[in-house]
Parts: sequence; structure tokens; C-alpha cells
Amino acid sequence: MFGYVKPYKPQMRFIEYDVYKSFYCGLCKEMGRKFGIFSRLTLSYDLSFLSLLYTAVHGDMPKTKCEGCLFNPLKKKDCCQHCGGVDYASDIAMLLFYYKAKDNIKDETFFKKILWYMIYPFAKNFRKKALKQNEKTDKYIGEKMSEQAKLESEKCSSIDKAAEPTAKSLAYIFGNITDDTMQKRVLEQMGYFLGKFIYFCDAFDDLQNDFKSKSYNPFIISYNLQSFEKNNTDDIINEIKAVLYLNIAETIKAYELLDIKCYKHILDNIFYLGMKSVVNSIDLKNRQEFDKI
Amino acid sequence: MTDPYKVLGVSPSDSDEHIKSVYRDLARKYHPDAYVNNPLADLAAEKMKEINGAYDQIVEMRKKGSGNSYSYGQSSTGYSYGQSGSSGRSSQFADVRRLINEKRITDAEEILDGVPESSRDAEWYFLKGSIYYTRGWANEAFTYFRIAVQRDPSNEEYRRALTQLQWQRQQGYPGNSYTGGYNTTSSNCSGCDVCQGLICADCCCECMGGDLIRCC
Repeated sequence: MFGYVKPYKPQMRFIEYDVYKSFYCGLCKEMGRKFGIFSRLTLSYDLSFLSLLYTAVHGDMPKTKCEGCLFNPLKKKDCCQHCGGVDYASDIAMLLFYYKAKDNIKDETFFKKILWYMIYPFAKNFRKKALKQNEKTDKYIGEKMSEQAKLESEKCSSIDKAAEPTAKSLAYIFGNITDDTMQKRVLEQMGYFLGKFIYFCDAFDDLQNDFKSKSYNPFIISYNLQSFEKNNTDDIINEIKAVLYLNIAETIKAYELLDIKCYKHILDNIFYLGMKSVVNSIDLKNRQEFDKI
Repeated sequence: MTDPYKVLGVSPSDSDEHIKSVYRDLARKYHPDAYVNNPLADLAAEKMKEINGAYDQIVEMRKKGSGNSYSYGQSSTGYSYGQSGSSGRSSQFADVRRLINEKRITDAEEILDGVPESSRDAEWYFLKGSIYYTRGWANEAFTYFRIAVQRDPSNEEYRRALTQLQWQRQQGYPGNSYTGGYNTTSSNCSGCDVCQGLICADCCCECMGGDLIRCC
């Protein structure tokens, strides 16, 4: 995951932002405790969102403590203490990082490949520690990732089909948050569309790079993108934005059926404002690229 | 028994008007039309029932509590389950519709895919879109709904499905085709208005040779 699910800060109250931040920092510390200092470099917004959601579903709000931070030594930060949410999210972070590393070794350019070869043993080690409680999840993600690789090598032209493995993985990860059968269904549906959202955001974000390097990108194939110029691409970018908005709306439909015990304002912000604002900023970035050419 | 005020998320000191508007917003949000073919439709229906029950209970309590002659709208008239979906028309794909209702998506798709290209009509595209939608492939669903409406622009069912996804694509927010999204309808719609509207629609249909309400 890459950090596309996050709140829209200008519309947040300070207190909400502090709580949100405490999960971000708390997750980072938790990863440090469990997997060692290097694992903390893999921290992402999406995973701190997962820890926040986990806590909101269970209602066990953790204590926070003001602690120093190695990566930002001048400032002390509020960090949430160990709780189910950060515990689960840190494990999942390591599993996803492992599969990302594995994938990058195959796909990246020569120099980056070497870099990922160096990272790989660490990732393998992190995964081993995270496996203890998540063996089934790991197996599931592994299967889906190989499906993903297959779809990409076949140059899949249906965007829904291309996003399916990521969507299914996240559905599984989110479904695991609770044992309650009804809420599990809601979380799975939410995870499914969040997975699609993240996959599409990533593809949208990489649109120009993938076009230049002729890498696989579902949008380029599906909309038959021929050149990266304003007249040509404007309609396609509008279409991609509509696709993302459609997925946000479907995510919200599931979210509105979720029973949450705390942090409602923060989650509302993420779903109603944050996701859309992320799409809008990628949209803006892509449009600015036109002007440069 | 749960506190009806809690269910609606309002306080007992709130005004009738405020509670009514909160109720309306919630009822719109969980309206069955917004969850057609959604795998979570049963949960939304459950929620809707809860909200209707809570609102009725509050209205009842306040009626008893004060002798004032306030006028209250009864929930069950405004937002009950309308018979949405297919009209009485005979359908070429009755079996497919039945399978979709029973959530046997793979079976339904198998039958649809077996239909030869030449006899695929608007309904075929609509049902194919519905199957995609249930599975979570909302983008594919949109494409198929669009073809269905192109082929049969007069069909209310297809148009409704398309409008809903169109709205979501523009707004990034769920909206149901019943209300055309949020806050667009005037806030006063009594049971009387509904009947009036229906009779009006019936007259229009009859002008064009169709019929909406058989008995009049």
C-alpha cells in the first residue's frame, strides 16, 4: 500500500489530527519494537488507517504517551501505545512489504533491482516474524499477488479485472478485523473497494511514468492512450477520475453500514473528504505534467 | 429496548423539525434503491427498519407527551419499501433475474453468456451490468447499463441504474436515483403528495398509451 487513504487535513479539528497522528507514530514505534529499526522505513498512511479502523471497530482506545522520535529528534510526539490495531497493522505492513519487494525484484530497472535485492533479506526476515499470527492471510495475499503478476503479463485490458487481486487481498485483510459475521461482510466489502481505490490511484499516479517506460498500466491499455498531450489525454483523465469517484461512492456505501465505536469524525473525514482530495491532487499533478511538455 | 433518540443520533431536546430532517437524511442514505444489487442490501434494509421504527416511536411518544396539535409525518408513509425494479412486463430473462435475486451470480452469468450475440437486447445488457455490479465491478457495470439505456431509452429500470452510477461518478458520493441525490427535493413530501404524484404519472402514462395504476 502506498498512502492514498488519508484524511483531508484542512477540514480536521486539531484534536482529531492529534489522535490520527498518534496512530501514525504509534504504528511506527510498534514496528520498531517488533521488527527492528529498518522496518520503520516502510511506514505508510494506509496502514495507520488500518490500525485506526481496527480500533474504531473494537472500541479499545489506546493510551497515548509523548515520546521522542529517532527520525525527528527535535520534537517529541504523541504516540499511541500497544493495542490490537497497531499490532495487526504492523504485521500486515510487513507481509505487504515482503510481496512488494518480491515483485519489484522482477519488474524494476537494473539499478533499482540491485537495491531491492539488498532489501529482500530484510523483508524476508520481517515477514517471518509477522507470519506467526497471520499464516492464512499471508498465503492468501501470496496467491493474489501471483494472480496479479499473471494478469499484468497478459496485459489485461479490463480495469476491474486488473484491480481484482489487490481488491480481494484487502477484502481479506479488512475482513479479519472482526469475528462478527455481519460486520465482517461490511468490512470485506469496504476493503474490496478500498483495494480497488488504492490500485487505481497508484495506476493514475504512475500514468505518465508508465507511458514513458512502456510499463503495464491498466488505464493506458483500457483507454488506448496514444500520446501524452493535453487534447488527447484530457478526456481520458476525466474518465479515470470518474472511475475513482465511482469507487469512492461504493466504499462509502459499505462504510455507512459499519458499526464504529469511536473516531467517527476522523473516519468520516477520510471517507467523505480525504479520498476525494487524494484523487483531485493526483489529477492536478497529471494535468500540470501536460504544461511541461 | 434501544433508545429511539440514540438510533437517530438526536437528543430528546431537539425540535420536531430537526428530528424530521435528520430522519429524512438517514432514510435517504439507507434507502433500498441505493443498495439495489449490493451484497450488503440486507444490512441496509435492517438499518432502514431500525430508523423507521425509531422515528415512529419518537413521533408516538411526543404525541402522547404533549397535547399540542403538532403535525407529524409518519415515517412508514414516506419511506417504505416501494416496489422498485421490474414492472409487470414479461421478461425474456425471468430465470436470470430469479438467480440474481437468489445471489447465484455465477449461474446467472452462465445463462447470459450462453445467449447468442444476435439476440442480446437491452435487458441482456442491463442484467449483465447488474451481475458485474453485484460482484463489485462497478466500472464494467456502468458500461453495460449505458448500452442498455442506449438500446431502450424509455425503460425506467435501466435508466435508474445508470443515473445512480452517473451521479456517483460525478460526485464521489452515493446518491439514489429516487431523490436524484442529496437535498434536491423539497422537504415536504407527505403521503398525500406521493399519491398525487402517482395518479399524475398514471395519467401521463395513459396519454402515451401505457398504464401505471391498473385500476384507474
